[in-house]
Amino acid sequence: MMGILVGVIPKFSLLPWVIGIIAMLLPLNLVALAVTIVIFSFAGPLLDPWFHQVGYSVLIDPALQEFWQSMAQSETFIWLQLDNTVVTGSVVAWLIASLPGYFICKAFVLTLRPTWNRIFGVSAGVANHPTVMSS
Amino acid sequence: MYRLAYLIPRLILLGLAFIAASIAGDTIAERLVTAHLESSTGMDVEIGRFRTRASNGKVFVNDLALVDPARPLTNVFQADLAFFEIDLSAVSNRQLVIENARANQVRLGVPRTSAINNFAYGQQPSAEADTDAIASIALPTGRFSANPEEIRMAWLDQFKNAISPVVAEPEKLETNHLYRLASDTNKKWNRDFQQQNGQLKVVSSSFAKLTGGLPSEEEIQRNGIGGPPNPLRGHTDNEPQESELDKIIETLELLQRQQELLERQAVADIARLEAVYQSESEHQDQPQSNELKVSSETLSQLLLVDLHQRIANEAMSWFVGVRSNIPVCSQGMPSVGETESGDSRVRGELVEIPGAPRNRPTLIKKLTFDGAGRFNQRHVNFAGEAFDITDQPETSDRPTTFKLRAQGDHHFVLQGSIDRRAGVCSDSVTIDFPAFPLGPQSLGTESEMLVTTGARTTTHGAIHLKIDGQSVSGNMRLDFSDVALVVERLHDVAGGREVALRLNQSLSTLRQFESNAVFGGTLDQPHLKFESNLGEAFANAMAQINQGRVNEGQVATRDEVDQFYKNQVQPLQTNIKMELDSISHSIDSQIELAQKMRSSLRAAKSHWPEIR
Repeated sequence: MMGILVGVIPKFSLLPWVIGIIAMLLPLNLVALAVTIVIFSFAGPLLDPWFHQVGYSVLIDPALQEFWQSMAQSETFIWLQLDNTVVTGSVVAWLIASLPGYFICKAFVLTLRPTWNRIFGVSAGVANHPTVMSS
Repeated sequence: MYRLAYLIPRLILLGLAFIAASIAGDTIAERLVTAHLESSTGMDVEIGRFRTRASNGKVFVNDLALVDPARPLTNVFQADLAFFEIDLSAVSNRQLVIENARANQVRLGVPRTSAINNFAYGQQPSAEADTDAIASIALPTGRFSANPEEIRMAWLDQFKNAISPVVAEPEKLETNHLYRLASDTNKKWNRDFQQQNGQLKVVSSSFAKLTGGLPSEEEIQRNGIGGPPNPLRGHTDNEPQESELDKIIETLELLQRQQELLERQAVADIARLEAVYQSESEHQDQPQSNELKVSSETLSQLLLVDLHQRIANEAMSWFVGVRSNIPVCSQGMPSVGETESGDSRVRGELVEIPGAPRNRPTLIKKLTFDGAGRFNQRHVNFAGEAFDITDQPETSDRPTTFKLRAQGDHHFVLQGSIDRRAGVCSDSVTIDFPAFPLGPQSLGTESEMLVTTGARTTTHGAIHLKIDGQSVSGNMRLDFSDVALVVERLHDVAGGREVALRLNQSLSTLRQFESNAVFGGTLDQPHLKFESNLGEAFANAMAQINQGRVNEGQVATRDEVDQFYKNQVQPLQTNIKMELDSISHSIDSQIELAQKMRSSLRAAKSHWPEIR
């Protein structure tokens, strides 16, 4: 999930770089992280119209104006580029999709793991390593 | 241990990533700069080689090119070498501030040999192709223009019946008073003489007929003196003849009286002819003024409008071309909340959030440049400086200013400003040229008046051009020297070749003239009004020439009148006198003869004794 977030956020924002470094420091499968970042870096622009709609709705929502104004007081705001519709839209979309996505990925991994283990002959102890599930 | 087992490889990976980033820093920076420039200018940006020194923020760029988005085979800006000194303290605020920049071998509007996607670095176009392309930069503006036909017609209209012919024309002489009077007098006297001679001839014929039937005078005398006259002759036969003779004498006396009248009339006519001749002579001796009023303004327009329009258009196109090629002028960063110029490479939109810091403008505080270009169809090398170049001029507190000195075929100093602070495009430029070799120029038109200037013609002056939004204003002062004007052609209505030759003589001393023009209108329809003392010089010369022609025509007319007087009037006077004398003499002799004849007849009759 971290790889998807880093992949879809436009790279002119500091956000994907910060998240990427944090992700590298977390106990995740680095290969899966890298592959996901690459795939979603290319796939992300395809979702831009949708991210733009989401981001624009969020950024102009009157209820959130106070929040955005308080955020905007920070100098880091300009580095994060959160006033960009695609940046905000991709982050919001990721936040919304992360919880169901977690369970979908977990179910996906648990389903495929026996087959995976049979093909590559991985022992059960290694295969149960938590990083595989979290990527 | 477990934590170290996954932590250490990640730290190593991060370290390797930083090392790779530092090694590939130039490439990354090149990509970033390219992306930034492309988003700022809306043009494709190409960089041949990119080197950075992160420690002091210096950047070296080789073969920098900005491709015209409308014409992929043209670089609107190209520099062989560019150097930037970046203010690192500003980078932390996500702002690119370049304290010093330098661009060497700058060229504008350079043609490319390949489209943007196939561009090969280091592939330089030929110098000739280079300069031609610069000269053919398409301009998004109208051109200074005037209606040449209107000027030509206005000019020619002034010469209708204004240029005096030098040679007195026969038809003009016919309108002369002396000529008309002499002609009328001649006709009248011919008629009178004819009438008088006719009457005299009739009388003479009658007299001759009468004398034919009478004895001769000698006979009468002899008979009357020598012996007794024959009583059977004479008395009865001579009576009616004597009566006839009396009638003849009366008629002759009447003719004589008419002749006296004619003589008096002749004296009057001759005196009148003399008086008219004297009057004509005095009139021709008086200085005559036929001032030719040619509008000097129209003459200036006719001669200089093309040249002024050419120079103004050249300055205007050069300025507008430079102006549109400067990225900050053509496209700035889009305002907050707007899509960034519709550039598909820029993802998303910026939404304006009150209080949010905006993207900081990119600012080049000082740019030094040199390069080559064309001005007035001549190659020039230039060097100059520009200050406060920014992609967000509306946020700047100072306008972009520039100063350029060109040397080569032309020498001029150009300075100006591009001010977009108020959101309105307000640009101005001043061009000073101390000695601008203009070379041979053709002034005027082939059909009306064609004047050429010498090869050493130079001009010096200044052009000030200001563009506020779409409005054009400014002025142009030109001082021409070593002009060596030659009138090649002149319309026949204005005197043709002869006047052209005289103009050349008259203008041979004219070495310099000046003009002042004022610009106005809009970018789409600019116009200029100018005035020059060249038109005044031409107008004065033409007026003098015309006066000379008037004087020469006067002398020629005087000569014609004198000749006419000598050859026609004086002989006419003499002929009148002679003819009158001749007729008078004839009448007198006829009268005398008739009277003698009558006396003889009467004397002869007196010899006879009276019959009782």
